Amino acid sequence: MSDFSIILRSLRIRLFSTVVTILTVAVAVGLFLTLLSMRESGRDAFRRGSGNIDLLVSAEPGPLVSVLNGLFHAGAPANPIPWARFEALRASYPWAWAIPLQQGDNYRGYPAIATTPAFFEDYQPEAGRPWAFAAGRPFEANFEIVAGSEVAATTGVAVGDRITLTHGSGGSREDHGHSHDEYDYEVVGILEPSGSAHDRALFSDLESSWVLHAFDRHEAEGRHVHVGVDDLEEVDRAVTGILLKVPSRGGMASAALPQQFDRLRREGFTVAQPAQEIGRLLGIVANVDALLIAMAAAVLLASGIGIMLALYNSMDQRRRQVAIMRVLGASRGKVFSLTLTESAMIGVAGGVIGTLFAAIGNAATASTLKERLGLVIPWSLDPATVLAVVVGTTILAAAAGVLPGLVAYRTPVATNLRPTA
Amino acid sequence: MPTTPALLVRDLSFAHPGGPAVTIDEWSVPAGGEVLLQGPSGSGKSTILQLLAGLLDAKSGRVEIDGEDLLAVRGAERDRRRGRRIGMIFQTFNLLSGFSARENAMLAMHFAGVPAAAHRERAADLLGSLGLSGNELDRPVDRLSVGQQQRVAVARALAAEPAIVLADEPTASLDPDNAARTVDLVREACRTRGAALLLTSHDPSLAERFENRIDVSTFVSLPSGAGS
Repeated sequence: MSDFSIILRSLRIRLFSTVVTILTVAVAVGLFLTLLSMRESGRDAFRRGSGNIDLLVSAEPGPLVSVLNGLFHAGAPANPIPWARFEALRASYPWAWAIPLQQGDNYRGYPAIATTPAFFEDYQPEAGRPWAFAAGRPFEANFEIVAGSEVAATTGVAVGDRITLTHGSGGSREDHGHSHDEYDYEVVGILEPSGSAHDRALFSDLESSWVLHAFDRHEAEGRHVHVGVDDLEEVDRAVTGILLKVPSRGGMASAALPQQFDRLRREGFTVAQPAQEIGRLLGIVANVDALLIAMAAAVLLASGIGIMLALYNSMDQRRRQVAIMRVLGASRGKVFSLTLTESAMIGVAGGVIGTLFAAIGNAATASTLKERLGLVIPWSLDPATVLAVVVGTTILAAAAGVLPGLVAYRTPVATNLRPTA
Repeated sequence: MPTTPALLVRDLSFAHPGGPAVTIDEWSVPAGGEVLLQGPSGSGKSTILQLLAGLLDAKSGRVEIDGEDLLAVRGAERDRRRGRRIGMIFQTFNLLSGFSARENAMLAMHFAGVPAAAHRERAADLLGSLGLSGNELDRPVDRLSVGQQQRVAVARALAAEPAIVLADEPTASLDPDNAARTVDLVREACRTRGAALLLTSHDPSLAERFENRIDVSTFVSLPSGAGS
């Protein structure tokens, strides 16, 4: 017999209460770890989404909106930049690369991004990880289109399919805006998941997109004619965003970056440094994060109170048990420590099971999200954080055992040995 | 050479408002001896046993168990001495519910500081000598018959090889025949293990079974109106 086996037996005697209390703690720990993990995963996803660009230039009202629309496809940018202005910008400085983007159409709610082949050659959705194709290849000719992994997974499009786009941003899954039925695209590639918002988009060439809108312009003017690339006019040629990379030396961004940033702003562009804007955004949502974490911590605290109540309520039945142990030679300190250790063991069990809950739940969710939506949400908590949460839970549980422990400590022996009626 | 008495009480004084007052100038129970402490219900027998076990604090005096003064120390040390030197049996057994027969005996050894390696075998031997064996050893005490529970209570009292067993009205709820059998069981177990026995009872029919007996009124004065 040991203190440990006495505590195990005591926990087994109140099996139902023990299991319910442990599960309460486990759910709280699981929730807490899941929220911590999701917070980190979310931050990682935002960091991944900005990729390897230095600047995002647009005509949007503000840099944060520009980043949300241009890189995370939250909505379609509403203010175009004429192609001539883009070309002037490109020629104004020896950029490492400058990639134009044009948004305004969607396929079944997923935004279609018109760009140049450099998008797949130079831009990386996560710095250091170039694009990878699950099937097919990048677009090379007009009216060829590449689908992001989530688009392919949810709509079922495959290489060789022909699809038509709908006018509008695709902010809603419902089709709104008219369909460009006159022109169809051939799907030539399916991307591997990148873990970024680009997985929920399609990519094609600029000229095809301009043709669609030139056709719309002609229709609006009452000219029912077929429009081809050769029919494009200056007014049709526009972009909604420009991804810029300044030349780097030894992996470090050039000191010219702030100068170019200021120059472009002075020229009337909206210029965003994605990393800074994402930092701002995370700063804005940090309060919500903190609120969620505080709520999870409150649930954890409530589970600690649950342990205390479970033990405290059982003390009525346990006073005789305590008195008997005292008669057998257990000191007041011993019965106090047995109660405290029992409480801490509930915390350990709850912490370990809660960690398993969080890991299993995260694995299942991550697997489903990856398969169905192409989102990569990895378990993003390091072992030290998990260990800290489990140890913290154990300390909380031990603290919850102090009051019941004091009841055990102060239990009078003689009066609790009397025969019961 | 005189042997150390199992119990030696000197100048013991205890009182609490509204309860019995206990005064024992000198009283001893020899090693391996048997004494019956007689008196009606509510006459203070349990109070005396709790004093002797160090569960109540005396105003003054000494209670030596096997030569060690229990009242000279307090707290954990007194609890440890009680666990090692004294076994207790109660009218309602006071077994630990949910624990097996073997575990009840092992608990006494654990708190008395008996090395853990010896617990299982020693508990099985002790319970076996009292007629419990096989599955009965590992059955929760709540699922044993009253007679088996009684034997577990006796085994637990003797598990730490105490100098003396204090049996508090172990026959109170039994008919005369069963009371006699219980007393014989306890006496035999104590004799076999070399423990002295101080047994309290309000049953006059037990008097003839003990050579040494003492009336509780020798030590206790009750407040007026008490002692029913």
